[in-house]
Amino acid sequence: MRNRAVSKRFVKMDTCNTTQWDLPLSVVFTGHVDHGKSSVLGRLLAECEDLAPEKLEKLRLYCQRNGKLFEYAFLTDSLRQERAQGITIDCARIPFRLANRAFQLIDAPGHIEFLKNMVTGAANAQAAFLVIDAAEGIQENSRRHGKMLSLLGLKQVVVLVNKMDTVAYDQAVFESIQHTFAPFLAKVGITARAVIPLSAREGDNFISLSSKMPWYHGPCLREVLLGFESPASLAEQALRFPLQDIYKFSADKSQRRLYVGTLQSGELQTGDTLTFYPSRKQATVKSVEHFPQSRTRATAGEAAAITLTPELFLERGEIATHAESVPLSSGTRVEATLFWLSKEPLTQSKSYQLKLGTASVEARVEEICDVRDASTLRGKDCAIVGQNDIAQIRLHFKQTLAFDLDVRFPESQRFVLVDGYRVAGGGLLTDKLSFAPAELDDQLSQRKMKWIGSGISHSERVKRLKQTPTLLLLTGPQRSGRKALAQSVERALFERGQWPTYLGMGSVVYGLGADLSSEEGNRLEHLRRLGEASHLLLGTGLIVLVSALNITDTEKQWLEKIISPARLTTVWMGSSSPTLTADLRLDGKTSDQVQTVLSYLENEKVIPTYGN
Amino acid sequence: MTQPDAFNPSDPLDRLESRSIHILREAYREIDSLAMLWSIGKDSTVMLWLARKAFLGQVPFPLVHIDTRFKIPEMIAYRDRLVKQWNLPLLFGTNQEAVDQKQTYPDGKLDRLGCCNKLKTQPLAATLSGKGKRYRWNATAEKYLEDTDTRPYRGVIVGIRADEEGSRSKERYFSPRTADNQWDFADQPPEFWQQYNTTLPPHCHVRIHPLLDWTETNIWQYIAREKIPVVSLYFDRGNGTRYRSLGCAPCTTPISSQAKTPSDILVELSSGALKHVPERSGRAQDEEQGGLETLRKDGYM
Repeated sequence: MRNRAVSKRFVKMDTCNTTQWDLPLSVVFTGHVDHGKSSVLGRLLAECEDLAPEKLEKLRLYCQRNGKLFEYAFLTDSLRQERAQGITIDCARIPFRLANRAFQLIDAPGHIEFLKNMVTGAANAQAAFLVIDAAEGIQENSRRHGKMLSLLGLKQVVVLVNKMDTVAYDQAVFESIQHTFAPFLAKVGITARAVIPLSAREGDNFISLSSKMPWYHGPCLREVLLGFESPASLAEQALRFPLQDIYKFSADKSQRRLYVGTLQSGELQTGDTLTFYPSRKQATVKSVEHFPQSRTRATAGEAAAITLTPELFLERGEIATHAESVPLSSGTRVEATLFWLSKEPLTQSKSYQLKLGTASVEARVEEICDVRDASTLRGKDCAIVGQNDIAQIRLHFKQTLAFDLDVRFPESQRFVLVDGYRVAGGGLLTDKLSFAPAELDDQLSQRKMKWIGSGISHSERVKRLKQTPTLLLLTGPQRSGRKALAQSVERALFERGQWPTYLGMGSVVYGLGADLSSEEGNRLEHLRRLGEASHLLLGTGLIVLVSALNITDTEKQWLEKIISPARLTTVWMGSSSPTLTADLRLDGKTSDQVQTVLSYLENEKVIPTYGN
Repeated sequence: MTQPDAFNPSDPLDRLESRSIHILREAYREIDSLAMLWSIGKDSTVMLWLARKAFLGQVPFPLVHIDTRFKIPEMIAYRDRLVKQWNLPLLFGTNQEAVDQKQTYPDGKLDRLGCCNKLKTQPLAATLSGKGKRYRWNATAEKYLEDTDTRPYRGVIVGIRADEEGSRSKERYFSPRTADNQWDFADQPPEFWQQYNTTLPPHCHVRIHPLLDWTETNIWQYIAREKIPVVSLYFDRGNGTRYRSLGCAPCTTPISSQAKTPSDILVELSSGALKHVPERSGRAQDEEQGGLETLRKDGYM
C-alpha cells in the first residue's frame, strides 16, 4: 500500500495510447450497506461529465417532488423500490467513457440480503472498488465482500475510504482503517493496489487530489480507474473447447454435424487433432464454420462451429484440447471450496445439479469438511452450509466429469450448484479424490436389490462344469511374470477339461473403462470395474484369471465384496509383499509354478483332483 | 498475421458478437420452446442477424412480432421484405379487438401507458401463451395464415440493452418471469460465470437478453460493419429528421438529424451532438408516471 509509488505508475498509464483499450473494462463497486457505493459511482459520472444535464435535472426534480435530499446514488438506483428504501437491490451496469477508454461500471448492493446480487455483479468484473465509510469503519460486509472478491478471482482491487467529510478529513481515521484492513485482505489473498480517502458528497479526490487532504499523496479515483488493466488474451494457452451443442442443420442443407462451443482458451484450426474429455475420443478438425463466410481457425473467446473427421458421437459438456496438449482431469469425486447463496442450506447427502462449463452432472454432497463465516472467517461448528457461508466440501458425481484443477483454466475449474430451479452457490474444484470405498456398500446393496437372476442355479452350474467359480488373481511387482503365468494356468486348466478364461486389465481399461484415464487416481475405479466384469463371468460358472499390479489387502477386500458369493484366490509373485496377505506366494525358487497353482486349487476343491 | 475474416479478441464487436451467440446457443439448447421477439427496430434486427450467425444461416425458432396496427407503415413493409429474402419463420400477434373497438390512445380512450398495455403487453402475453391468435408466414402461400400450433413459448429472446434505461440496466441474461408474467426484480436469481438459470418452474417462462452488454454505438458500429439492412426510418431521407428509436406512429417523434447512413449516425453519436439526449426521448410513454419500469414489471419488453 505504498501510495506514492503507485501514483507514478498510474500517471504514466494515463498518457499512453488509448486505442488498444477499446474493450470495455468492467469495474464493480462493492462494500458494506450505506457506505456509499452508489454515491461514489454517481458522483464519478457527474464529475466526468458523462451525464446528460437533463438526467441530473430530472433527478433533482424527482427528489424535490418526493421530499428527498438529492442523492447521487439515485442515478444508478433506478428502481422505485430502491429509491424508496435508499438502498441498492440489484446490480446496475453503466457504460462509461473516460479519457477515451470504455468501462462498464457495476454498482453492487451492500446489504447482506442481496449478496447473491453482489456476486452476480462482481463475477463479471475485472477490477473492483471496495468502499468503506470513514466514520463507520470496517463492517461485516466490507470483509465479506473482500473474501468474495478473492473467491471470484479478482486481482485488481482498490479500497476507497468514503465520507471523509464526516470525519473532518482526519488523516488518523484514514490510516487506522488502512492499517486494520490490510492484514484481513492479505489473509484472503488480496493486495490492494491503493487505498484512497474520498468524499462522494464533496467530490474530493475524484478527478484530482483535494486540498482538504494535503496529507494524502496517492492517486485519485480517476487515476486508479485508468490504471486498471484489461484481461490478457488466453489465446496463447492450451486449448479448452467445451462442447455446447451439436447441430445437424446448415444453410446448404447438408447433414453434416456441426460441433459448437465457445473457446475458453487457446486456438484451433483445420487439420488439428483434438481429444475430447472425459470420453477421450479423438478426431481431426475438418472445417471451421462461420456465417456468412467460413474461417480456418478459431481463437479464445470465439463462439465457434467446427466439423470433425470422423463425426464422433459426443455429449454436450465434453471439453476438447489438442492431443499433445495439457490434458484435463476427469473423475467422479472431488473436493471443492464453496460459497453458498441460497436461503435453503446445503446439507450432507443431498444431491444438486453441478454445472461446470457446459457440462451438467448430478452431484451428491459426500462430506462437509469445514464451514466458515465469510466475514469473520471463523469456523462454524455445524453440519450444514447456511446462506452466505463458505465451506470446503466433498462431492460425488453420478457421471464422470472432465475438469481442471489449475488456475490457468478458470472456466473448467469453476462450477455452480443448482438447487431445484435456481443457482444456489458456486465454487472452485480444489482436488480430485479416488473412488470411495464407502460408496461400495451402497452400490452393492443397490445391485443386489435390482439383480435379475438366472434360471440356472449356482449348484447346477458347479455340477455341470465340475468346478467352483473362482477369481484367481495373480499380483505382484512389475515384470514378475504375472500375465504369462495367468495364461499358462488358463491353458493347463483348459487341457484338463476345466472352463477357465483370462481377463486382462487392458481389456477392461480400454473398453468398460474408456471414459476414465489410466492415471493413478482412477486405479480403484478401474479395479472396481474389473471386479464387476469378473462378477458377471463368475456367474456363468467360469474360473476367471486376472493379473494386476501390487494389489493391497484393502483392494483385495473390495474385490471379494464385489464378486461375492464367488471366491477369490490371490497369488503373490515375488518376494513377500508388505501390503498383501496372499493365499499363495510364488517366487523365482518355485520349481513348477503352474503345477503349484493347480495343486492349490485341487486342495481348495476348486477343481477335482487330476485323474479322478 | 490476422486474417481478414478471423476472430479478433481485441475487437469489442467480435467479443460482443461471440458472447451474444453463446447466449443464443445456450437458450436454444436449454429451453424447450423458444421464440425471438423482433420489433423491427435496429436492436432486434441486429439480434436476428446474430441468430443467423449462431445457427449458420438458419433461424431455428419463430420470430414474434407484435403488430399494434399503429406502426409506421415502412416498418411492416420492411418486415415482410426481409421475411421473404431471408426465409424467416415469422409469427405475429395483434389485439384486433381493441383496435376495432377503438380502445386506444390515438382514439382518445386511453392514456399512453394504458394503450401500450392494451396493444403491446397484452397481445404479447397472449401470443406467447398461445391463448391469442397468432399468424404465421407461409412461404408457399406467400401470406400470413392463422397458426394452428397453439403451444405456449417458455423462452422469449428479447433485444433489450442495459444502457437504454434504468430498469433494463438491472436485468439478467436469463431473466425468469412468474406464471402471471411478472418480473420479480427485487429477488432475481444469481447469475455468474456464464451459468444461467435455465431450469424453469412449471408455468413460468424466461426472457433471454443476448444484447445486454451492447451500447447504442456498438449497435450502429455492427450494423455498419456487417452491412445489416435496417428500416430506412433511422436515416434522414431529405427532410432533416430521422428516428432514433422506433415505436407506434402516434407516440414516436423523429429527431433533427442529417445522418443518411450508419456511418453518419456513428459520426453524429461520437460528435457529442446527442450526448445529452436520452435515446428513447422520442418515446412518449416513458415520460408518464412510473414509465418503462411499470410497463416492464407487467411484461413489457
